Amino acid sequence: MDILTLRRFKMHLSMHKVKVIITFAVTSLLILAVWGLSSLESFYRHLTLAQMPITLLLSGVHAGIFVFMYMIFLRGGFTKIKQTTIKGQKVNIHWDDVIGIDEAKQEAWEVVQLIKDRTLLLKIGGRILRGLLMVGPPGCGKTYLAKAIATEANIPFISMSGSEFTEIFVGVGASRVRKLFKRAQNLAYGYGACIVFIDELDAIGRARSFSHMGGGHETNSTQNQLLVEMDGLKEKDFNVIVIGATNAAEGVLDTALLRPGRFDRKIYIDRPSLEGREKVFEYYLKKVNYDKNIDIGRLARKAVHKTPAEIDNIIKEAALIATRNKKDTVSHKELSEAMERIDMGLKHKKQMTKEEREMVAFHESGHLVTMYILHPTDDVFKASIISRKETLGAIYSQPREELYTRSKEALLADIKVSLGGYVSEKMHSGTTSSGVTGDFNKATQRAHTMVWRLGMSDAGLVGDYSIIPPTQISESLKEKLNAETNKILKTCLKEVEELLKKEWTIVERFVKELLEKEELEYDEIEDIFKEYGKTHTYKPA
Amino acid sequence: MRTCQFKLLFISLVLITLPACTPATYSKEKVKESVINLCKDEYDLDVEVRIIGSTLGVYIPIEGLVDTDLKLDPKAGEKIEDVALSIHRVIMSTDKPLKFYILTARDTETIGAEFLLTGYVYDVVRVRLLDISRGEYHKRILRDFKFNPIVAGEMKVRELFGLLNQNAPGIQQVKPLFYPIFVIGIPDSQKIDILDIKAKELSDQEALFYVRTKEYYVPLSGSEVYEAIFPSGFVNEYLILTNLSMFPNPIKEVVSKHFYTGTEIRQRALQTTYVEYKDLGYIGTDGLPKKDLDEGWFLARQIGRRIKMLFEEDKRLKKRFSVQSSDGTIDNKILTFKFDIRANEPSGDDNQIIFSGILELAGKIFHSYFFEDFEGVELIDIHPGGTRLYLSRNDLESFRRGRIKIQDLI
Repeated sequence: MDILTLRRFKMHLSMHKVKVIITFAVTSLLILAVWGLSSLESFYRHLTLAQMPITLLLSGVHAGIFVFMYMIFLRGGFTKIKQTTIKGQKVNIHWDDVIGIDEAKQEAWEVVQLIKDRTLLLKIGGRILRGLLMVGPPGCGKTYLAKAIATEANIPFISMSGSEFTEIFVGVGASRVRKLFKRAQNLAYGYGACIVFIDELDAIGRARSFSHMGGGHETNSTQNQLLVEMDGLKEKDFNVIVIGATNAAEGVLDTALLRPGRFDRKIYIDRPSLEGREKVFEYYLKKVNYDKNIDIGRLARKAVHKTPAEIDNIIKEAALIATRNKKDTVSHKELSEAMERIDMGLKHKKQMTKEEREMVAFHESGHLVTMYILHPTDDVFKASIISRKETLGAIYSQPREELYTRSKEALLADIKVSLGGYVSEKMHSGTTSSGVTGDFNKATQRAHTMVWRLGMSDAGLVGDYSIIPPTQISESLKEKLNAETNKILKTCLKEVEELLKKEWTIVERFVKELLEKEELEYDEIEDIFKEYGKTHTYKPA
Repeated sequence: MRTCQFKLLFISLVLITLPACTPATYSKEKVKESVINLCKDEYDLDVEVRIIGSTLGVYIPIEGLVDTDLKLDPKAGEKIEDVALSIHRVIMSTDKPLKFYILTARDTETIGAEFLLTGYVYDVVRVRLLDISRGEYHKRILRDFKFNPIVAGEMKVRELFGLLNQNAPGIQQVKPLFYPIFVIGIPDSQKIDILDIKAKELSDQEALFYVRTKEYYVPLSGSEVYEAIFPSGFVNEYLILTNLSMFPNPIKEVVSKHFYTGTEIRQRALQTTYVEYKDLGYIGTDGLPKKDLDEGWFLARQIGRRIKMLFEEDKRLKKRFSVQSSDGTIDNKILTFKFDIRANEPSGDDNQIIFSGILELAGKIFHSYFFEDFEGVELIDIHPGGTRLYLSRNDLESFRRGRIKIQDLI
């Protein structure tokens, strides 16, 4: 019997101590009961046996009442936690299944190596890895990556959500943390290491609050216990690696939790890049029957800032639409519809008058032409005069690539695009509608931000004036700033008017097309512009 | 996992219920041995056991059963309890269909003093199952602490023949009763050997003995002629009646087989006479039952005693009446209860109260024993001028159910 087998035996014995004791006790009692019954005189033996059904029934009723009362008054087994323990090889999420987050994968791979080569690390004198924090927006593959780490390292994986620790009773969460780590230590003892994955770590890892009223005591005590357990201030040093996942900003978490020795590794898992999205689309499309002519690159471009979970959802939705349309394969049309449905909501046609529809068509065409011709970074993917949610029509646009900053030109273009609808309405009928509310809101906000916060005015007003309390800003400065804001809006308005006057034929063409088809796809839009010899002003950043 | 748990539960239940399939602890073939062994092993008591039909009889001789005040000695009481417990254990855990048990404890020093415990097996089971209370159980047991007229009488009969053989002073006046050897023999030449004594219990006090003797004598001169009829060593017979109420001289009457009319010697058919008497006792001289008991007899006796208990335990009745005697018998499926209950201050409804109390008691007891093997009950007030009442089984049941009122009967 090798040492590991012996250790595993001891581990099982330790983990199932209560079960073993209960089994032993029940077996002993059973033997004693049979023995005792057999040694009784037949009258008393039969008497005891005859009473057994009612005794059992009454015991059951008593137990039922007890459990019921316990559940009602003590919120039933609140110290018991459901920990999902899975052996590494059974997690069944492989490294290759994690796609679109290559950089995070690379960092995580190092973690896998550290777990595997713990002995070597100890020999060198390196510090054992205790915690790994994965931060990023929801749906980017944090859990997936954690599972892949467990599979690759081939060690048991215990998964829990941070919210499972929280209870109204102080001490319950801490008790659950203790139990979780006790279990993890047992598994680590038997299998060499164990991963504890705590999803939504912010539920217990939030910066602790200290209130005289006692609020937050439960969260504090839970977190304190987690800190203690992660410190490993125990008799034995177990190879338990805690992987926490959160979509909360790092500042939200308690600093004690983030210090070296606890979550000493941090992996930022962001939304996938264009290349990553392409891979994600490719990966999920393989799971459905899809049209092989689909341009995955175009899909990826259209799905800027989409997380893998959202992409998965788009493909599932597209498959549903295809089924509803009695089609065998998922085509670009279904994928496009799925994206719109997810982003813009379901279509619901409103009964509008001819004049209203015309006005909406001119409004959207104004946006469309302005965007196509003037916007340096964004592209139009779709135009529609079908109402969705609260909008009567929409221009569906996306940046052509991930841009993490917005240039002055792009911001000005945003304002111009917003004003495009207003200008088009005015030029068409000499009047405007209430449909410009959202557009003006957006345009004014952008112009205000440019002047007040980003120093993008022509008057040389540099600095973030929004952080200065209004009482400390002079009226003259305020006037200046507001004048600059107004100037931007006016300049943009003028430029849009000139543009649309010049390209009014194209506007009218789009109006006609929209009134006929109600919706125009990317290719149709592109074809119309090509017809008039126009290309968009897209310039890579 | 769930299937495994069910299997384990099933196996556990089977294992636990398995002892139900084992045989009775005391098999029907070994009931006697079981009682003897239990008493010996558990309490170091020697008992004798006899089973007649469905009646189990146990006899234990006890030295010093009664104390100097002729009361049950506490230590002897403990021994009786131990034997009773052993009997209970056996009768409850045997497959032999027993109905009654009789425990007889006799004093080895005070001849004739005995304690009898007669019980119904099913009562023992019912009290264990809490189907009846312990108080009710104790009322159902027949306890008799008395002097046995046969045992005490036999002792006196043997003593009498001994005195005759010793020619003791004071015996001279009874010698002529033992005809003919004391008439035709030379004084002091007579000798009587008892061959056999048979006895019958005629009542709680009286016993009748049939004695066969072998008698020796030397004839007086002139009486040689009798030697032809009564050769020395001839077999003689006597009927002797004893009554314990006449203690210490309980021999009430001696009847010899032969008697002289003045003109001739005649014989009496003593054996035939003896056979004609009915034996009311159920315990033999050996302390073991003489016959199988039946429910009718048992219930008649029990009700006879409980009538007395009823009028002594109920404060209202006790204040108003005093019970002189009460007894129950059964004959030809008719249960007869004879009682002498007298009102302390006579009033018009005395009889109604007495009779309705007894009928209610009898009806309740018959019902609780599910006893239906009788035709009717007869209530006899033995007080001079007392009332007699007969009710059929159905009428008694109607009375119990309240369909017949006592006013309709008396």
